[in-house]
Amino acid sequence: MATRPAGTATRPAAGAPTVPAGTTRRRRPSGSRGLLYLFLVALTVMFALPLLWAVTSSFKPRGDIFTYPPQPLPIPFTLENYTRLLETQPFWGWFLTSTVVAVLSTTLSVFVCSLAGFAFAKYRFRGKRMLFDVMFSSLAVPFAVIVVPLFVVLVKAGVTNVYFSLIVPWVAPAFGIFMMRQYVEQAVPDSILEAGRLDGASEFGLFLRVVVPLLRPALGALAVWSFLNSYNSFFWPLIVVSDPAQYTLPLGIQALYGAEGRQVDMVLAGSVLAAVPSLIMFLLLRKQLLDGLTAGAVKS
Amino acid sequence: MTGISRRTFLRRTGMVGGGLLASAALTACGGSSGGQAVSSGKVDLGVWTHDPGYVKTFTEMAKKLTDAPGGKYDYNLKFTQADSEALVTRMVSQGAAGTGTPDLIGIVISVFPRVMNGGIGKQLLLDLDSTIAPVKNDLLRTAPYTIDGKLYALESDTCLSVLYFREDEFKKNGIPEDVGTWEELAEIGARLHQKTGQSLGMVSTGDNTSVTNQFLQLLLQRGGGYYDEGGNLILDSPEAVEVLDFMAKGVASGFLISLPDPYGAPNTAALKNGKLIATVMPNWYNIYGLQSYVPEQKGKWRMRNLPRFKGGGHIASALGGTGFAVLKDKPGTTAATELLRQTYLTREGQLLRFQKGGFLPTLKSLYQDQEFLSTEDEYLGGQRLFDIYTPASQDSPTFYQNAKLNVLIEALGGPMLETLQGKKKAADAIKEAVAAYNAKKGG
Amino acid sequence: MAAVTERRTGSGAPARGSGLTPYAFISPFYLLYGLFMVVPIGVGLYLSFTEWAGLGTPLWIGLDNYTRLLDDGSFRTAVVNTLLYTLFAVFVVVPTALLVAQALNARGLRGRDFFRLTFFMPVVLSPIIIALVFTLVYDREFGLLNAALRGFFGWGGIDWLGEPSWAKVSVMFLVLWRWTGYLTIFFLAGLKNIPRELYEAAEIDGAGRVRSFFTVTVPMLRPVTAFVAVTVLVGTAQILEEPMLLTKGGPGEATLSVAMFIYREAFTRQQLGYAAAAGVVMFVLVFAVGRAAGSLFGVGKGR
Repeated sequence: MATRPAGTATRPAAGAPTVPAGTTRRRRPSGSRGLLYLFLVALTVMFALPLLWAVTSSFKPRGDIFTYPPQPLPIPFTLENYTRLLETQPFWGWFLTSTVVAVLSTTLSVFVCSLAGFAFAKYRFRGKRMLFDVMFSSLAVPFAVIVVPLFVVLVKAGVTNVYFSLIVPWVAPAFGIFMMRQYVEQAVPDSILEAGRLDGASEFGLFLRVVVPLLRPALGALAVWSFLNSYNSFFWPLIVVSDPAQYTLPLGIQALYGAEGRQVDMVLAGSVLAAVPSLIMFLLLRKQLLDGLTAGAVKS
Repeated sequence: MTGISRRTFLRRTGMVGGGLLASAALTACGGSSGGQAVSSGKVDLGVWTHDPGYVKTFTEMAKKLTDAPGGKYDYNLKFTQADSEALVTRMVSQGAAGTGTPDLIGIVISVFPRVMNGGIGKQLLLDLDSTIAPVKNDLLRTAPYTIDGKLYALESDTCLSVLYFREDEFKKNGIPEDVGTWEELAEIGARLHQKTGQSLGMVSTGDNTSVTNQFLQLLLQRGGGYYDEGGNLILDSPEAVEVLDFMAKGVASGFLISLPDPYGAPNTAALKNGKLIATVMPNWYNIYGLQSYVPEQKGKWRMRNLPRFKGGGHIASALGGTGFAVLKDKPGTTAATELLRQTYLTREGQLLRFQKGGFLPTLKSLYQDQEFLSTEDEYLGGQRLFDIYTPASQDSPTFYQNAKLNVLIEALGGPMLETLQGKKKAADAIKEAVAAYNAKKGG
Repeated sequence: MAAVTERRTGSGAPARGSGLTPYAFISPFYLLYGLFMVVPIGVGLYLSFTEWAGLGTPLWIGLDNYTRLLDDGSFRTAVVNTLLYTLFAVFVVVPTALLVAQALNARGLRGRDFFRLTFFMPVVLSPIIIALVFTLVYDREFGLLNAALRGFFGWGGIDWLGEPSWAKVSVMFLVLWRWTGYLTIFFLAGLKNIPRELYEAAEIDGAGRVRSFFTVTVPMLRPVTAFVAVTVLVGTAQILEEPMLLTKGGPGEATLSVAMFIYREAFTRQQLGYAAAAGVVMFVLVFAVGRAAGSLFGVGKGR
C-alpha cells in the first residue's frame, strides 16, 4: 500500500492545503462556546442526577431514603445497606455471572458481527438480498413469543449450562451485523481493499489488517452496545437461570425488590455496584471510541 | 483465538442441533418428570418464594423435622428467591420443558389467576383437599386458591385489613379513636382537611393494580366483590357504585389523599410530613410499610378495626396473601406436602411462621390462643395485636378469584381513576368497566 | 458530496476472489439462526392459530385469534401509542442525539470525556432505580417537576402520570432521557470516520459551521444515520420497558404499547396463543416499516 493517505485519490478535498487546527480554534466566537458548555452542563445535570441520587441514597438508612423534600447528602451516613447486601445475598455470584457473560458475549459478537457486516457491505454474492432480509427480519421477532419455545428447545437438546444458554444463542445479533455493515460502508473505501488485494492479502487478512483498524470507533460502539445488551438483559436470564447463586445482576436486584418489603435499601446498594462494570467498560473503550483513524490517515 | 473457539463452538452447536430435531413437538410436553418417590430418609426439595420470611420459616421447620426423634425425612431445602411474577413464569416454562420445576412454591394471590388458566394448576399442582381434611373447618381462607372446587395452595398470611392511625395527631385534632362508621369519619376527615390540610386515608392513582386494590379492599368490606363463588362477575352492584362514589367524594373533600400507591416515595413523603395520618391496610403493612418507611414515627401509630359502612358489611377486609402449593408427581411430593402440613396446619408451625415472618395464623382456633393473644407490638405503642385481629378474623369477607382477573383489573383501572379525578360518575365507571370486561375477556 | 458516497459504496465491490468467502463470513449468524431461531419462530407462528396457556396441548382454533385482535380495543390503543412513541423516537430522539454528538465532537472541547461519561449514565442505571427516581420526579403532589414549575411559574398542578396525554408525554420524555446519550456513541463513532480534510476544504470554500454540517457531516454520516434511525425505529416499535416502568400502561391503557400488550397476554393472562397472534402482526408491521425505512435511507442500494 502506498504511504500517502490512501483515500485521498477519491476525494475532491484531497488537494486542499491543511489548515492548522489552532487557527480555526482561535477563530471561534467565544459566545457560542459559552452556549455550548451551558448546553452540555445542563444535559449533564439531567443525565447524571438519577445515578447520583442512587449513590447518595445507597448510603442512607432505609427510613431516610424517601425524605421529603429530598435530602441530597446521606446524613446520617451508613454502610449498612452494602454490608447487608453482601452478607445476606450471593451478590458476587450475580456479579460474576453478569460480568463473565457480558465480556464473553461482547468479545465474540464484536468479531462475528464485524466480519458479517464487512461481507454484507463489500461483497457481491448470490442470495445476498434475501439473506440480508432474513437477518434484518430477526430484529423484528417479538421476544415474548419465542422465549418459551426457545427454552423448551434448549432443554430438550440437553443444554443445561447457564453460560451456554445466556451467551451462545445471542452472539450473532442482527443489530450488530447491520450496524457494522453500515459503518464499513461509511468508513472503508473500496480502493483501499483493491490495493490490499493487489498486495496479495487474503480476504480474511484484509479484514483483520485493513478493515478492523478503520472500524475502531465503530467496534468500540458495538462493544458498548453488546456489553449493555447482555449485562442488562432480564427476561431471558429469568427463564433459564433458576439457581440464585448463578443469577445475573438484574435478576438478583429484581428478586430483592420483589420481596414483601421491597428492600429498596439493598436494591440501591446493588444497583450502584452493578453500574460499576458498565462504567469501567465505557472508560476502557474510551480510547477506542475517541481515536478513530479515518481511511485518510491509514498508513501501510 | 478464532481457530479453537470456533471449533469448540461448532461442536457445541452441533450437539444442540441434534436435540433440536427431537424438540419439535411442544405439544407433548407438560406435567413433571417422574422418578422414584422418596418416602423416607434424605430428600432434596426446591422451594421457590418471593420473600425471605418464608426462607427463614421453612429452614427452621425443616431443621426441626429432621432433628426430631423418629423424623421421617432428612430435609435438604434449596431456595430460589425471585419476584412473584417471575416464579410463576419460570414454573410454567419449566413445566412446558418437563423438568426443573420446584417442589414447593409460594404463589402470590394476585398472580394465582395465571395458574387458573388452561388447566395449569391442575397439571402441575397437587390437590390439597386430603391434606387439609382434618382441619378443614378451622381454615380461615381457602377460596382464593381454589380451582373448580379443589384447593391447590395453602394461605400463608391471613391478611386482615385494619385502620392504622396516628394516635398523637388524632388527639391533637380532637378526633375520637372509635368513630363508628366510614360516613362519620369522612365528615371528620373533610373538616380536618379544611383546617390542617391533613387526610385520614389514601386512594391509589398509580397503575391499574394499585388503583383497583384500594377499591377492592373497601368493596369486600362493604360486602361486595368482583366474582361470586361460581366465578360469575358481580361487580355491577349497588355496593360497588357506593364504594367508588364514597372514595371519589373523599378525594374531592380532602378526606382521602391521592397517591400513586401505598409504598413508593410519594406515599412515604405523605407519611413523613404528617399529611397522611390514617390509612386502611392489612396487617403486613405494619412491618413492610410503616416500620420501614417511617421508623421515626415509632410509638405514634395505633390500629383499630375498620369503621363500618352504614349500609352494612364487615369490620375487616383483606388485601394480598400468598398461597403455598406442592408440585405433584415428583419424587419429593410427599415430603414437601408433609413439610407444608407441619408448617401450616399445626399450632407449632403457625407460631413459628408468626415469629419468623410475622405471618398471621391461618387457623381460626389460634386467634383464641394465649400465646398469640399476649403479643404486643412496640411500634404500635405496645398495643395487643390480637385485640384487633381476633374480632377481625371472625368478620372478614371472602374473596373469590378468577382466571380473567387481570382483564377486569385493566378494564376497571381507567374508568375508576377518572372517577377519582372527578371526571366521571361512579355508576358510569362501573358500567363502562363491566362492558369492557365482557368485550375483552375472550373465550 | 453525493458523488463521493456514490463512489465509496457503489461500484468496485470485488467480483473476483470472493467465492465462498462472504458466505463463510456471514455463516455464524445463519448457523445460530437455524439452531435457535427457526424452530421457536415456527412454533410461535403455529401457536398463533391455537389457544394455549403455556402447558399441555395447544388447541387449534384457526384464525380466531386474528379476528379477535381486530376487535380488541386494547390492541388498537397499543398500536396507536406505539406509533406515537416510534415517531417521537425517530424524529426527536435521533436528531437530538446527532445534535449532542455534534456538540461533543466540537474541536478543543474541554471535559469531553466527563460529558460523555455522564451522558452514558442513564443506560447503566437499574430499571428499578429509574422507576423510583421518575416517580419522585413526576408525582403530582410531591414530584420535583411540579415543585420546579411552582418555583418558577407559581403553578404546577400537572398530573404527569395520571392524565392520559401527559402520561404519554412523560413516557416519551423518559425515552429521550434514557437513550439520547447512548445514541450519541454511535454518531460519535460515525463522526470520527469523517476525514478532517473535508471540513477544512469546506471552510476554505467559505462554508460556516451550519453549512458544513449540511454539506459534509450529513452526507458523510448517511450510512450511520440510516443504521441509527432504522434500529431506533425497529426497537421503539417493540418498546416495553419505559411504559412498564413508569405507568405499567396506565392510566387505564393510555400508555400501553404493543410489546406490553403481547407480554401481558402471554405472561399475566397466560394467553400464549393470542399473544403469538399479536406477535405475528407486530412482526409483519415492524419488518415492513423497518425495511421500507431502510430502503428510504438507501440501505443496500445497488447491491
